[in-house]
Amino acid sequence: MPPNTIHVAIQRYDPNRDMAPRFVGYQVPRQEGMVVADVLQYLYEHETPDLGFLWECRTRRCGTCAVRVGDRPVLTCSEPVCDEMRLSPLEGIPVVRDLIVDRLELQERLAPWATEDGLGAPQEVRVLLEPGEIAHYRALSECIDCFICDSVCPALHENAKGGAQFSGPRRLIRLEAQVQRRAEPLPWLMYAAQGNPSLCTRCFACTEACPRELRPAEAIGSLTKRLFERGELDAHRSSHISSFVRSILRGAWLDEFRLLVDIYGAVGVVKFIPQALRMLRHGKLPQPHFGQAAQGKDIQTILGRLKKNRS
Amino acid sequence: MSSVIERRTVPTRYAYFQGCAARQSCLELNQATLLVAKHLGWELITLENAACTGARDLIEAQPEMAIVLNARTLSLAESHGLNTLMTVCSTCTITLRQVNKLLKEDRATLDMANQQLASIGLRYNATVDVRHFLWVLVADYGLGRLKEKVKRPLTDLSVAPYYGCHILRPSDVLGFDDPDNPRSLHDLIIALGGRPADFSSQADCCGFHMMTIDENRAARHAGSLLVDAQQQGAHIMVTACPLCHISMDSWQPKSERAMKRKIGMPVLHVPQLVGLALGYSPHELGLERHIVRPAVIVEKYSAS
Repeated sequence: MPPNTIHVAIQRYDPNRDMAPRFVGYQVPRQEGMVVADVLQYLYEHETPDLGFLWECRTRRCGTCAVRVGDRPVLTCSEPVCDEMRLSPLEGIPVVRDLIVDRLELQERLAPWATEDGLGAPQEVRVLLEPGEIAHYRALSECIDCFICDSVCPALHENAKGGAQFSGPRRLIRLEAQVQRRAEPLPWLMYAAQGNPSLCTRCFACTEACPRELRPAEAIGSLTKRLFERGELDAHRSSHISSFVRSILRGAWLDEFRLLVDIYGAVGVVKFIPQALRMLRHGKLPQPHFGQAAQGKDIQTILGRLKKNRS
Repeated sequence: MSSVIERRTVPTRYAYFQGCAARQSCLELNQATLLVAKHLGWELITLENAACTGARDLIEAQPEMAIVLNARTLSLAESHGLNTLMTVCSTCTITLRQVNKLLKEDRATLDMANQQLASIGLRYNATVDVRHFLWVLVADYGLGRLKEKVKRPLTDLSVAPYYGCHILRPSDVLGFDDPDNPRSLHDLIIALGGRPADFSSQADCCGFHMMTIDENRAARHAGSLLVDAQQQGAHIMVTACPLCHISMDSWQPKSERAMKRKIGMPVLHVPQLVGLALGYSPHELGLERHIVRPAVIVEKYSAS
């Protein structure tokens, strides 16, 4: 490999012309401090003026330049180059051409909460922040719509197969930011509930990938807490949480048997009989817990006190 | 030279946190863990008095309860004079590590937890490190030493290394493997004489945590991993998490229906794979408890 040369393979695809995407190899002279966007710019100016890619601000603010280097989604404006790279568009989003994905389609998916008007212009209420809270509020407002979190979300990709639809981490982190700003967040919470946050797999791919380190998975956790406290969380997740709390308070460990009964009800669990028989045959069927565990009293003491303090 | 010094200071006594699954629907995981630990000379102090971590439910919906509950578990490890709490479940690992990170980094949170713990005569001094069995094996014990103990190399066995989510991400909580390029399971399989399958779904999600929300979606999440392993020619899959095991073994018949195809992929817990190479029989490792019979293992290793 010649020194000072970057070998880059780029996925080329024009849906109007090509049957399928293909990778094309290029060589680019390396320069000091080069980022991936520089490589694309070089190719556009010197090699292939029809290369489709986006960038605007080059300061990690606009979110338009996100692509995948190998399997990892990055912002090209700040991603250092390496000797060999394979660039492709973000996963799971329709491709317009080459590295450009359909951002318009994604923006439309955001409606009606893309704008405040979509909610009938909720009344502005002044919220007083403690000094320590400001950084947290500002952080959540710093989503740059790069769509990287959505592109790595397995639950969002699963929507294509039908059934209940998950609204994805980007929409939910934006709703969490709105909820935090409102004295009366219920309308925003209800939008979040419509996006089925319980379909999130809790895989943390979004938190790991977010180039702004905004932690969308934790924002979904926070929305779950808010919906749970207001009794607006879906019945299955809500029963799941309550069952955990009951089990721990009574017997320290989760009662796996009771968990299913709590979620599906005595009649609903009947559908699990074939599964249960199979597990019974293999000695895997969890037994219901009876009585209180030895440590149950201690746990009730510390968690019970906590409840009292909170009220 | 430094490695010699490090090896001498590595603890061989660990507080052992079983978690709910290894106490109930994955008893074979507990069985294999105890067997392998004993074989390798680790002294495990099982924290029988500990409690469920509350998994993702408590830390999301009742975070203060999750902090106090897990601070109690961590303090139990300290009360035995131990500073490593060994887990065998990835979700227990992420939850305990998340709480431990909060307790170590935020004085107010530690004080709040200790205020509650004081009423039952406990205190947490934030000295414990939470480490998964896989990490203890690979980094603390060392694969070189493990290799010397292998009696029955897993020759010609293609194993799909399945990491899943909660042992990798978020990396600022877990921090052992590179989530984009994890190696520990690969290296372990090689040390045991096996062959890691080229398995691109290695860090994808098995869908366990939304199984009770939408069973079909969950079955498809697990099913696509299993099919990927099958298509890569893996004889078996190995997982570091009993919840992933429930998804992919106990519920595999459901995944087969969702994917509209027969899969029949045996899934082993990490300590079971190690135990096989150390010479234990499939029965000693509880392999008969699996829903998908690991025929390839049973036939190959039962007779010897």
